[in-house]
Amino acid sequence: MTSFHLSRREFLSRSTALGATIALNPLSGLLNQAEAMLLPRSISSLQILRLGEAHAEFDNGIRLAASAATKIRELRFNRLDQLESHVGKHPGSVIIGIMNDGAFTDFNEGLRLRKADLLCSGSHVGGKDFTRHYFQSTAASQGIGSAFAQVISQRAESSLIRESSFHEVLPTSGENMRALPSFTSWEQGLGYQLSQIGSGNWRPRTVRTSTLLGPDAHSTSTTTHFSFVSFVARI
Amino acid sequence: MTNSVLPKGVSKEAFDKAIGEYKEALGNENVLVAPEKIAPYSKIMIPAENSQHQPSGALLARSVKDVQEVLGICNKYRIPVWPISTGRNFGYGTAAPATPGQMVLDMRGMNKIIEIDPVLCTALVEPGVTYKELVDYINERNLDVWASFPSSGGLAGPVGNTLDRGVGYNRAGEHFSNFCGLEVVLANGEVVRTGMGSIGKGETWQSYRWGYGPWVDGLFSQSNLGVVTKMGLWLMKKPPHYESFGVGWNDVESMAKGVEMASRMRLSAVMENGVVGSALYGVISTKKRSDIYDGPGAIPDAVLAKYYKDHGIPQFALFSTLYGTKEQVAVNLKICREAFESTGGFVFTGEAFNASPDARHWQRMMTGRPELHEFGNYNFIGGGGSAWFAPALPARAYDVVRCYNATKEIFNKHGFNCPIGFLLGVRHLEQVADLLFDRTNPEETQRAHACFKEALEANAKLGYGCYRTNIAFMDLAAKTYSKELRNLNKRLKRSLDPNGIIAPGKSGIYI
Ligand SMILES: Cc1cc2nc3c(=O)[nH]c(=O)nc-3n(C[C@H](O)[C@H](O)[C@H](O)COP(=O)(O)OP(=O)(O)OC[C@H]3O[C@@H](n4cnc5c(N)ncnc54)[C@H](O)[C@@H]3O)c2cc1C
Repeated sequence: MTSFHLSRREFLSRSTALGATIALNPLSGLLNQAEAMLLPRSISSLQILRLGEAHAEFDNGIRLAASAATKIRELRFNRLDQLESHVGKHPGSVIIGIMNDGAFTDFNEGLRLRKADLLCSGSHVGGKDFTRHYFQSTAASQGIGSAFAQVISQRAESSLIRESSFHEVLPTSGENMRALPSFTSWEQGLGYQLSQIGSGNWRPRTVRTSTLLGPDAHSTSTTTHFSFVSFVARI
Repeated sequence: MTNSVLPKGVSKEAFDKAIGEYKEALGNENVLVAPEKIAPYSKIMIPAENSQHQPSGALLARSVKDVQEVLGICNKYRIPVWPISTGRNFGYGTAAPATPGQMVLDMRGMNKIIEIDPVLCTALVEPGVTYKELVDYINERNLDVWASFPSSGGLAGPVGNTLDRGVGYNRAGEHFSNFCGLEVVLANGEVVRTGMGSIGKGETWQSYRWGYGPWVDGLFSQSNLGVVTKMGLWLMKKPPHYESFGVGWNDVESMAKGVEMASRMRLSAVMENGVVGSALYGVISTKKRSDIYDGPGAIPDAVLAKYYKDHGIPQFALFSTLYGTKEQVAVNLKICREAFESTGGFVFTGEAFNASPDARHWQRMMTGRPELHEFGNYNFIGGGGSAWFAPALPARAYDVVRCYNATKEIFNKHGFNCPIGFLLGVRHLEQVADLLFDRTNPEETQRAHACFKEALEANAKLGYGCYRTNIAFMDLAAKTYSKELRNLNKRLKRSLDPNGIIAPGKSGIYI
């Protein structure tokens, strides 16, 4: 596992040096062929779960990565206590969710109770000029941090991206960068990546414990303007 | 794919063999080792690295026999287990163990409410029962009792909460004073019932606490000397009438006098419960920090004072509910009003009380209605960090001011605000401060760690020990108590659990 503190330019040039194909030019939502091969195959039903506010960009990202055959059910809750019981009602499905920290504390207990698989979770905060993202990954999502850094590097935002893994890290070819559509926001990029994890089409990437893009993302404390948790779970 | 953490000193081969035996005993589906299954057990909020508290797996017990079998296999392979009842120890470590490489022994599946006696107001429950299940059971049968629960509401459960000496808010709110009789599986697999449970049918198991000979129940609380599989509870008799009131103060000294007064009211059985919160303690559960302030570090006192003034919130408020007949409540309310007004507080009841969301929340806590209101705390700063800093102190004004000021100064120095709740006992109180921080920020997480450490050490120097602490600080908290006490704990541990398989590190106790 490695830790990188890089400028955006350094991040991109190092990734290129690793032999990656970088396709950060606007692709208008199109994927290159190699990536298209990786599009969701197995999953027939995906649930998008939210508590409270809508996150349209995140949802778009999920749809962008999901195949046309994938049925997407949107579920929106307004009350925390509806969440835990929901987990039990849809065995066999994959949930991609986004919710505030308080709600996720509760929801996580529902996952534990149902012996669900938590394939990936990420804590996201942002202030005026920065965002921070802290992922907990498993084999099914290994390298989400470096993949997400690629999304972030499309944009001129200061970000700190961290990942810690719960599993024995799998060896990778060293290739981290993939062709990606150009995203209208990082939330869309996040939805896209989590959708790939949820549909079982994730190829493990190098785990970078920490990637810092741009200045200040780590030193700006307690001035966050938003905070939420994203996750992929199989119940 | 296995988890990356093996129990200390256990080879991969031995671990795999043990897993096979656990599966035989519990069934495949009740032995979890895949990282994605353990991930929900690893979610911690405290200022510590996840890797320091990562379990090797989870074992889901459904019966006392399961627990016995698990302990047998653990002894055979020297694999440590971390027992949890409902495992919702939020802000203290949740379900995760004190040291990495333990198997979490999850008893959520043992969730029978064995009996409730509405006449004597007792219950006998298994560890996995949640407060919600208990309250639903009571309500569905229209029983004349109330359960006391913490403000993490229905999610948590009475056995884990009581064993960790947690606190609730009605007449039976000091939970460790309101349980009666345990069933414990010892490390060697023996099942012991304490108190009157160890005599034949044990008719008085849930009504007489002390049994015969030494009272051993305390050994199994905040400890690692056995696994509790049943507990008797004392519930509160539903009163014919109740009325809640609040008291507001705008400075620490007056509030502290009020806390001392509350103790006097409790000593004379006028009041039976009470909680005092700093205004910020109420604000954090409904607001976001950025609604109030945008700068770095702790929100300055002047900014907070203006915010409270603009919103008509007193700097400190006490909430209590009086129980009894209408006449009793009226008399007691009059006594309380006069008493608290003499401390410089203003007393509010009725409409003024109901206008405050905080007041309504505490009233529900005091009248048998759990809710998840306080989970809003985690949205105040965001980033998922929270640790309860909880020294116990005598209910004297002098100590309240001293401990509050010392704690607040340390929190502020490290860049954190200090939302504090004083959970009022009769002669003591627990001063519970929620250290909220952003876990996505490694620098802030380290600062929160340093802050907690300093607060713990400084309070110990003042003579205020933590009544309970999170899994990252158990060793340090234990060290603030005497060597002799620690040696005694160790001797007990060695004699009851010679292989050290039950929860090594709990309360800083190892073999
Ligand atoms: C918003 C919020 C408000 C809170 N308010 C309160 C409050 O008012 N009062 C309060 O007390 N807490 C409070 N908490 C903290 C916590 O949620 C509760 O104390 C909760 O009851 C503990 O979790 P649990 O009941 O699931 O116990 P568990 O997590 O199951 O158990 C706690 C610990 O006890 C030990 N243990 C558990 N079961 C056994 C067993 N069977 N045998 C041996 N050892 C065992 C273990 O060491 C375990 O870690 C709050 C938390 C939050 C998030």
